[in-house]
Amino acid sequence: MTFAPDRITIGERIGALAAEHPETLAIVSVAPDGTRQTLTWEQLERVTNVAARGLIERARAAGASPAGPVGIALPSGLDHVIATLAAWKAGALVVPLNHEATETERAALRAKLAGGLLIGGREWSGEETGTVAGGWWRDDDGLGDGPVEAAGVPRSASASGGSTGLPRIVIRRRPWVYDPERLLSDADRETGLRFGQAQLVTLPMYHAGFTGLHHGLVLDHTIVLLERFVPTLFAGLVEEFRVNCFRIVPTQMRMLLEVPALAEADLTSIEAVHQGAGPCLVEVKRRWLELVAPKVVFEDYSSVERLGLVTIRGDEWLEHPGSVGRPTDCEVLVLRPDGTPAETNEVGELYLRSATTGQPEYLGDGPPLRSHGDFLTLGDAGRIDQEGYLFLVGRTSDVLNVGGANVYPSEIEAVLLGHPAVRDTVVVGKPHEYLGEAVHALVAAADPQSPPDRWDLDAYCREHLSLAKVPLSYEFVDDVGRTSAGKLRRGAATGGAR
Amino acid sequence: MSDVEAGVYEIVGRVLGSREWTPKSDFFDVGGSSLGAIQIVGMVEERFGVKVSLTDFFDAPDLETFAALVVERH
Repeated sequence: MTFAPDRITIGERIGALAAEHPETLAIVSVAPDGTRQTLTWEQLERVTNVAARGLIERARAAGASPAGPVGIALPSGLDHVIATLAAWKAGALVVPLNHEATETERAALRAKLAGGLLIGGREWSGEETGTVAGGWWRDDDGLGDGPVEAAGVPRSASASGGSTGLPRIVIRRRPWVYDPERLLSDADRETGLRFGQAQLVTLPMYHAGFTGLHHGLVLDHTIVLLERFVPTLFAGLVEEFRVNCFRIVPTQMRMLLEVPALAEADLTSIEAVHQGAGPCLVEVKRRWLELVAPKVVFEDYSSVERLGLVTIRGDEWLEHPGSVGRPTDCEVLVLRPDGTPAETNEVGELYLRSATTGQPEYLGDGPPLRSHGDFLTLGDAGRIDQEGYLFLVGRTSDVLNVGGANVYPSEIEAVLLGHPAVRDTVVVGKPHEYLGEAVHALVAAADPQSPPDRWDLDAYCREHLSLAKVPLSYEFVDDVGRTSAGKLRRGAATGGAR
Repeated sequence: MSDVEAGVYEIVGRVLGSREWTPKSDFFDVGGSSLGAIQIVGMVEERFGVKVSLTDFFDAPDLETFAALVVERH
């Protein structure tokens, strides 16, 4: 253990809450057809202790360390939470993965987790990792359900695409260890969180749903976990569980406005809506601020790299529509391509510096972020107005934001280039009503006399790429616009669409 | 089954991949996602020139009802 003895781990906190109110509901998991599975705090504590013992045995059997990386490739649901907490109780680094990844994606992820343990279906098996199916906690009777001795500090990491086409796994800067006097941080308090709330989780567990759910458990939240985001279930669940807080992304906000029942629903229990993952259409946000009190909506600009956090509350947003707020906890520099500072309202690349800013720690390799002194950038573009409000305008780097998911065009291009009828390709973002950006592929045919069929390319991409990365539209061109050096001119190809 | 109806199911099949489903299935119950719904609506419009909204998709209790709506508007 490398943390101070007065700190408690998330596992110890679960144990304390189970002792405090064993019979209280901890988690309700809601399937798309509305059926539920539940765990009380005592059940959660016991089952995760059983699961942790089983995990330690399985890790040893596979030649992996229980304190090493544990990939979790399970669908959202109780098993995902049980596997995660069990791995943390054993002292592991938990890496939630998209369980619907394609074989190409799975192979790349297994390589990153080499020597570790992977909890997932048989399709995840490979030489690099020990792979076990989840669910052993339901029939491992002999293991005992008391607390487990952890072999390491509980940590987590997020997997995302990378500009090289290979995944990057960024380790969360803070381990899942808390100062018992400061379980609820000042930032939590200022953004409407408190102990004992009912939290609805609608985001995928390999995405922002993961942190919100587990931090919520530490805050004694009752978690209502929607196994898949089914827009028509949302309003009913808010009413039934008197939901107090949830995280949401712009695409979900836009889709929920299509469900007539939302306007009729009783949303008065809501105390905190945390909106993230990129720009939201001003009109969509305005309509949300009519549905719920503006003072409970907090939009933030942040990232897994935690360079800094900028937040704006709904009432302040109404005075500065489209802004993500005035940086208070971090400093933001807007720089021109030549590194000189941009003027007020001039768009440039955003460089951040805060107490938490530092080069990301990766599991395996990963690229360092570009820096300017001790300021770092993720490649986001924006401007700051005369009153100091920050506005995001998209990205300067080669990454698309498809409904809140980071999608790297280079990964899609690499797949398309594997199709025999494709000579060259460039993938760009195209504005999309619901997704913000949709994947659009420009394709040059290997044989101009018989260009590839759009529907063949679609089937081919679906074989190799998970849903968010599959192009929604194609354009067949003679030349995709590479320079003589072979570098793609993405900006030129989009025609300024981004 | 009309060509349009068969075409809608072909598009649904692309998005649902290896999941098991029938025209009587509820899209979300068989493992469909909201992103998948957006893709289906987009591909239906591209292939048949039929404008259907996400609200139409959500309102349809099963895939058969959705396909019937596309046929009707075609």
